[in-house]
Amino acid sequence: MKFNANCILFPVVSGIETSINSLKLNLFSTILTTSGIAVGIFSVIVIVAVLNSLGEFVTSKLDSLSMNGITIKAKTSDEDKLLGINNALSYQLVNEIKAALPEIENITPVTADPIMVLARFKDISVQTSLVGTTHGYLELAGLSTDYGFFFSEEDNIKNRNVVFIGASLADKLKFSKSMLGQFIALNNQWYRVIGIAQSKGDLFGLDQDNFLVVPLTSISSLFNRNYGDRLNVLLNISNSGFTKQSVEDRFHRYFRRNQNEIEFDITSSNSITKSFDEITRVSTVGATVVVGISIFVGGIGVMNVMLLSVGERTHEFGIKKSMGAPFSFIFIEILTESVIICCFGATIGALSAMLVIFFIDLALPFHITVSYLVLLLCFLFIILIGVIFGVTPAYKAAELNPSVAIKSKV
Amino acid sequence: MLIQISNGNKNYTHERLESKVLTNTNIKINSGEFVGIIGDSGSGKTTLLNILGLLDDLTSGKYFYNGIDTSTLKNSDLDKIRNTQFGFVFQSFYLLSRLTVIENVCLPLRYCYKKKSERISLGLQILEKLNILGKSYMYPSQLSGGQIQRVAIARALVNNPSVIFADEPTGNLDSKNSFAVMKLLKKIHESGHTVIVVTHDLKLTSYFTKIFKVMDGKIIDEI
Repeated sequence: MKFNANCILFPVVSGIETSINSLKLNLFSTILTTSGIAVGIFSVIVIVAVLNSLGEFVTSKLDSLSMNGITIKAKTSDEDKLLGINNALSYQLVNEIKAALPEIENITPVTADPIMVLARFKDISVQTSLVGTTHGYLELAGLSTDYGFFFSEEDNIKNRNVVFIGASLADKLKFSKSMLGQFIALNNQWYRVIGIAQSKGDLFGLDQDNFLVVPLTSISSLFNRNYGDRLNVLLNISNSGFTKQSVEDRFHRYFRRNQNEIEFDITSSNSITKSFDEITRVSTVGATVVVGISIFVGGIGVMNVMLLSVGERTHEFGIKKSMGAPFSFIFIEILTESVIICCFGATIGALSAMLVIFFIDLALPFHITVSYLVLLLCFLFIILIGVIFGVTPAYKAAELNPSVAIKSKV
Repeated sequence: MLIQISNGNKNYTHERLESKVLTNTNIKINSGEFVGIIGDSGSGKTTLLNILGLLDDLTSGKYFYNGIDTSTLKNSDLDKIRNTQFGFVFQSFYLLSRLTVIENVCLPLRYCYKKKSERISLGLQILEKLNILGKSYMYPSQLSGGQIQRVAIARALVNNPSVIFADEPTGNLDSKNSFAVMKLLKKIHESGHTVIVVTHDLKLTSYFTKIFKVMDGKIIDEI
């Protein structure tokens, strides 16, 4: 049998015309009917847009934190912590790792414990965090120099009191670029400011620019304490065919072989991003399921209205059937009406979501974008809901006996 | 023979009570006849018209249309016959109030999937023939009873059917409009269509070439 596209096109057009008429006549009640669907679509679009944009924002921030590299930290058990023991890596180990793993492109030790220090310039004092490290830190920490320069290998070897400061610390100390080369006091020791970092902005409200970086060798004299065995390690791998995963595996093997008594945590941007992606994915799936249920309930509302509408229009279907309207014509016509009503609700939901996202976008520190794919999927899902919940009313209308239906009260 | 019913019976069951509406009905109608089915209210004449128009089926007996036993036809075949070969005119007009005159008239053409331009063209032609072209884009609520019935007749004729079924076409009209409508049906008959009219109005019998008198579900006379 030859397929005739008009058999679908004609009832669809008829359904659209009837729906538009019906919308004109009963706009308010149609809005109420489709409110469930509108709320569902609104929630899906807002939740997915916010979560996706948050994900992108966090990923970009992680990138800016120089999470391209791998961080190795010694683990300390709870029992050891109670005994006041904090495991850390030694400077010697850093050199051993470098020698043992040729794929390492850049490696630097950093002080393991967070060190808070009072920085003073003229009569202004600011509490800030201090990092002791080597010249490789600038690249590994994802920092860049705004003014001046970072300290060199020689500064470290010669134990020079030089300091590289964050942008917000410079602001707080009222230390401008023209003052480079002047001294600030750290624990009453004078350090020459040789560079100011480019600002990285806030991360979840935390100031990323309030810091000081000094050569690792100078920090021991600053606190009269040897920091050579109180270290973490930051490193980058070369692009010589190694994947981060394979390097991580090699590290695990290396540490198992050489450092039996201490356990290590090895984290990379991969693992952090993966964890965050997983959280985002689970949240999105969870929200989508809840919203899906809401849309399903909305669909039941639409079916109810369609059943009422078919009941009220029994006479009309009787007239149409007396004129030879086929089962398929009326069936598709009603299905189309159901889909149009659902799409109407979805459009209200989508437009409201866009409006709300516009205002949320103004209030949040990151930019929220609505994915066209999400919109498309929402509307495809709504069309499916319209079809599913339109089947019963459509069947009811299409199978009416014309002689009975035509006598039904107008 | 265009239409033939042999030993046709129609029963309705309501709350387990069965009532016989048509009993042992035999009808033969040839092509081109102007048939009147007359009888009192509740005599079963509308049920008979519904069966003849394939809007309803017989409980028992046979209905042959153009020699084909209609009980062997699928619903889609019956829809097609109603759409292409039958036209209906009802006492209460049964126009769709939300559609304009031209949209109402063109409705049957949708179900045989004619293009919009063709539908409009055919609709306007038939409205012109019935002298209501000027009302094409009005709504039924803006027309008089006689005009509405003309629109209903135009709708019945738009597909150029073989048979026109009219159920009390003058029942809701004054005598002037009744006369006009019957004159129109006569003209339609004269143009080659078979016209079957159900009426209780005995004054209309003069128009018919064949009359079936129905009483208590039985055809008591054929003239």
